[in-house]
Amino acid sequence: MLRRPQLQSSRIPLWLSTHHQFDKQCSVSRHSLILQRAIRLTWLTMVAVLAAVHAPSSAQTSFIEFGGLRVPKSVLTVVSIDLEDVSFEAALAEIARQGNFSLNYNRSRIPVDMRMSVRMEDVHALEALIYVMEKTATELLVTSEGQLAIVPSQAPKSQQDTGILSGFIRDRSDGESLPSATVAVAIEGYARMGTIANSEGYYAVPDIPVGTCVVTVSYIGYAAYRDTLSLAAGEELRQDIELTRESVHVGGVVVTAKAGPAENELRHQPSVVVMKMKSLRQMPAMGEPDLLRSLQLLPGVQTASDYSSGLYVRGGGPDQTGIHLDQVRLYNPSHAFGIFSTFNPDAIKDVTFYKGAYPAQYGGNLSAVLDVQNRDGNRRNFSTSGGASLISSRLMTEGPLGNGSWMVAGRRTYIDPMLRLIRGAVDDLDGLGYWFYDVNAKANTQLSANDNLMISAYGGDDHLDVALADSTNSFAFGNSWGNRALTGRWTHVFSPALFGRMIALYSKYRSAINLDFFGTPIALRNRVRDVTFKADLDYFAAADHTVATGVDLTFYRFDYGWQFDQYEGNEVVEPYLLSTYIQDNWQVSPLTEARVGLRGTYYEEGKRLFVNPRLSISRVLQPGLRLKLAGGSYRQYLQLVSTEGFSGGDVWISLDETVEPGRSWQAVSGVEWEPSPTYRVSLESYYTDLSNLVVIDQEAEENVEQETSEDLFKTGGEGYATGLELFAEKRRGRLSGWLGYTLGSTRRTFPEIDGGRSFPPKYDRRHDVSLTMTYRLTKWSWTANFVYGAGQAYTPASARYTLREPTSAIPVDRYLAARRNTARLLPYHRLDVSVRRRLQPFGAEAEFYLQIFNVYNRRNEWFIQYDPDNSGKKPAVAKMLPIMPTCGFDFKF
Amino acid sequence: MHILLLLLALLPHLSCGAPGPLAADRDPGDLFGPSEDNLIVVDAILIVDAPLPQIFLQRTAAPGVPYAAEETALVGASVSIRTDDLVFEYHPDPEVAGRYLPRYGATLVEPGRTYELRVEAADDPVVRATTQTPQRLRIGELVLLDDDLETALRHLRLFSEIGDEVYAAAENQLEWTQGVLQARLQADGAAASYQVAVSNLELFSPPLFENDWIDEDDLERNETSPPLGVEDGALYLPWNGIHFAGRYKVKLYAVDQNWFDLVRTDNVDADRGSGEAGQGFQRPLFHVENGIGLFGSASVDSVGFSVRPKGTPECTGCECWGCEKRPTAWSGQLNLNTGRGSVSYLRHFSSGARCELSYEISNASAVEPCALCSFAWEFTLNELTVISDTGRCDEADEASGLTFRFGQANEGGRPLYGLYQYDLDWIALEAGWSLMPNDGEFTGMWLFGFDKL
Repeated sequence: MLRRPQLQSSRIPLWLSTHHQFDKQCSVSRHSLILQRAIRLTWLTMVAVLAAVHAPSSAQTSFIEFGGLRVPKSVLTVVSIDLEDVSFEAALAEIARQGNFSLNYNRSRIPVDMRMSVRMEDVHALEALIYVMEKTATELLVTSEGQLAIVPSQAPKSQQDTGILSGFIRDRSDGESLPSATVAVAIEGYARMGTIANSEGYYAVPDIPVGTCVVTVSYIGYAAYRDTLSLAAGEELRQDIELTRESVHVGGVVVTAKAGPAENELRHQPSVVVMKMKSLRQMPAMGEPDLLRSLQLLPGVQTASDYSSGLYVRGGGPDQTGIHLDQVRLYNPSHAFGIFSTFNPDAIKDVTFYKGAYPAQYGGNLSAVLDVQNRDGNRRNFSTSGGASLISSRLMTEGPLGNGSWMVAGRRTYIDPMLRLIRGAVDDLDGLGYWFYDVNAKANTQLSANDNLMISAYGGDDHLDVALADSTNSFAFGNSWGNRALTGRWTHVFSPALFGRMIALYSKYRSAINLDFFGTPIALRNRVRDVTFKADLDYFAAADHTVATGVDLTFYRFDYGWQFDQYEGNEVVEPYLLSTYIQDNWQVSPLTEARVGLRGTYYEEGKRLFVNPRLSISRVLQPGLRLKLAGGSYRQYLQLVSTEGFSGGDVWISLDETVEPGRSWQAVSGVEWEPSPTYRVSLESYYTDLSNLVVIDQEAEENVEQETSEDLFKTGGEGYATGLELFAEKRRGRLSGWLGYTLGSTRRTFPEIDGGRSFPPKYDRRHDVSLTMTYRLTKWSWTANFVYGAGQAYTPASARYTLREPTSAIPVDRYLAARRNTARLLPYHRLDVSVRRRLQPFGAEAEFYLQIFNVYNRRNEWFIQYDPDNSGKKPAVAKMLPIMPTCGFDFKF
Repeated sequence: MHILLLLLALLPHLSCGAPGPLAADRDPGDLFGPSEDNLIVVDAILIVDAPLPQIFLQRTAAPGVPYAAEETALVGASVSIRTDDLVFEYHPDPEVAGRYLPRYGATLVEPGRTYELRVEAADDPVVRATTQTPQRLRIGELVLLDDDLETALRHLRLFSEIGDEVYAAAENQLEWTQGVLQARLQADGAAASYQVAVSNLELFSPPLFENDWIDEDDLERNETSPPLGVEDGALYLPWNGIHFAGRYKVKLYAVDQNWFDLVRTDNVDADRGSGEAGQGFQRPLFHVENGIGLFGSASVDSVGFSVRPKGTPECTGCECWGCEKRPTAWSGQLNLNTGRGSVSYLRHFSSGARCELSYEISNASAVEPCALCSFAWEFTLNELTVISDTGRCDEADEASGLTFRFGQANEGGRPLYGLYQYDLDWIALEAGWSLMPNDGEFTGMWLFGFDKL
């Protein structure tokens, strides 16, 4: 917590003190002496006049206004000082004694032992003070209460007067770097200094005045680190810091490390969520913990259905949120048709979720960014963790690698044996299988104290096969999709204040649908691949400026292929995107932080050049109360064509020159209140303006090749999203959790949809509530999630009529659709619970858990199904998932 | 222990729905929006070189209530079609409520002309719609191409050359999926879009492919394509819709913008697979002021050919599959005095499987006939007798105890235009009504296509 400085300092201007050369030991000319006395007389007269003018009428007042300062009247006491070879401290004491006032000073910060002689007769005490202060390069501070303090002079800084502190911040137990840890440097008499560690856990605090300072480092889930360091002038002190994780349970008592003042300042910018993996693993889920499912519990984040892990963030669709794993983009982060995501909780180290107004180092999405970093691996010890549930198993191992580390984590389902049983029981069902797997791997090596090399890889696939066969015919359907990602990163500390990284990224997503229709092969394939080269610099320019800049070049390749019998076709599009950004994290004042950035992009398709500003401001209104503002503009060049509940057919399409890239303007404002380290309440409002939106045109003539984006999409869409989010969190104690509430509204308008009328998209929800609570007691923990969402929008039928099919003239009874999405499904609500029991078999750590998804078995509505050409048939409601109990266990050793 | 208790508490709950207010159940009637009943529905299509068409007018009915199309007919309206300075007044058809016919014989529809429909009904705003008729369409050539889509194997004969002899012409005998047909068009201008309507003219021809997973009853002898585009004045006629052996008449429609917009935005047979679930249902684009429906136009031409099964040697007509008549699936007899009779089901499958069964009829009673029927009866199917079952009678016993309705269609069906006639005049009927074919051989045999009431 930031504390307002207790002293409002006002310093006697030096120009005033230079007029008083009252060193009677110096030999001065008679002329100078007269001049000096004249000046002195003038000054005293001025003081007397001022004292008379400003002195309050009450005889009891002991302060006077002097030079805009409120000083004790006693400083004008006439004193006579006659000291020979005494210490500075003794001189101060004598002056204060005779003047009958008190002086404050830090003995460690001023040269109290400096020897001096003072002979002054019939002078004001203030004069005497000025005289001795000049000898010791100190100044007089006057507080708002009129107290006097002796402090070192604030001479203009030069390099020789300051030093720089830098280093890496890591977890003590396993050596994992801790990105975005907060580093605060406190020096008495100076405004607090500090910085946030970058994504590699590197920090630097320049311009630290010489002397002793207190360094505090904090990070969520870790005990605050404090140390006192001394910096010499011009010193570049490398201090790698290790943090200890908070202990939570000791003999049934929850023990938490005392929160330091900086601990709760982790995220000063609005709309940012940092998620702890421990919280993620606690949450009950469908089968096993899932990152994207957990994010859907946050205010402002919604889901389309139980069958989709897509993120609908503040009125934006899933393709408007960029998802990155170790800086590489993932194009389809879903397994099992959207029920699970591709993120293995065991492999994740850090999750930063920008719900809006994201910073300049990111781009390409209209709405939000999810940045996931995998674990580097345990640099200290070899360890293994994993788990098994009814649906899948996973295993993660990690360990030291020289002076670096490695990590490998894998998962696989085992639904296929169950499907094989079904296959065997059904005649003519020759094949039925579904499975997925994913593997995360990472290796780090410290090439030198300033160089680190990291390689990270991800691979995952989903496969679905259905085959029917008899003696004469065959029918087979297969769908497979998956991602491959590779990151190579070299980081180098050029100087304590300059940190750089060179990154090469590779990402590939592919999807293939294959049909064998009675011997006729039919296939649809699509693939997107990008290769990116990036270079970033973090420059800790000054105590109040940290500049980040970078450039990246991405080469895309989009492949679209099809096959029908012996006919095949393929189309390839290969644009590139050049981006550059610059951003300054600026400590405007002790209470105000700003992040100002610009991002420029050039997209080859359409030769699009854009410059997008980004701004974020955070100001402490009072201790524990912070105001946040942010905004920016964003562009998107790729469009996703997806089907809810069936992510295996996702297709990414690059928008060409016939269509303007999507654009959004975002504005966010909010207040955050942290009355204590335990509680936090945040209220945030947002507004997003959208334009140049596109949706796939499913009404185009089927046999005509859509060659341009304008042919393929309905274009010219506009929209907005606005809302208010409340987030209340209890972070410590036996009972912890949060309550999130969103009041929101979003609309879309397309010239070719519903006559250009504005309509709410399906995922528009006026009210969205999520409550999650975890209670821990000794070896048990219970968690409950409750979610409530107002009904999603759908288009109802409003009438029946008959119209002949034009070519056959056969009358067809039909439903007439009302205006788009003018009706609402029933509200969605669901309760999930889980219970966990910790064990320690054979010295290892293990947890058994039972989870129940949808405890009271509410079959929430998914969508309404009309039979459009059979109005005699009543509409049906497709439902979402029923109650689903699962169990499993996790282990670590 | 906690887990065990939780499990035990869970067991009886798994099969139960959410209790009371926690449940998400509601009456299907609550799934409709505010009613838009009583909207005027226009249904009229102008065909170039054909007389002005009949116009069907009705009103919409509220959703979720019992609906009979004939009960919603709009009667007593003042209807006219205007073009340039000409006004063609319509009069109501005394035989069919809601149908309006042109007076004094029908003038032919001209290509490239604007026609405006005007409907005035009491207490309703004037309904207007406009169509711009496409230019005259003619199929200049019908070519069978090789699979490379470049080599022309032969040119088929056209109606304009030899009339109905096209079905027997040697050039017009096709083997299923061998080659690709291309229609090369002669048109004075481009239309908004094109559609192809495929009709198999046989009653008993077998399907062209055999398999046990697609029921013959699931295949249609008449199919219509989605909107298609024409490139370089030619259109490929895919094998889509060619399911049965025998004669085919394929009509090519060059349609106006109204027709195109309605068909492409309509929900019938729509396949809007991507996007959020349940978002494919949408309001079509009607282009009718103060009403809904279709006032559209098209220019039509057609071709004819015969298709034989794959691998069969060259042949003509039913020689290609055997000329024995495979009986229709359903037939029956009913004593109108006693209300008793029987319904028989007989079916041969191309695989050789067979199902023959019958139901007793009881409690047959006369009911109000449909607008296009001369009389109608309603009856209940009772005792089932399986005569022969080689694995294809499936759930025949489920029909026992169900009530059905059938009727006899009026002779003549709908009026025909121009040179094009159908051998079998399917009249679209409300569910439960049946058809009496015009073919003299089947006079007296009722063919059932019915649904449950």
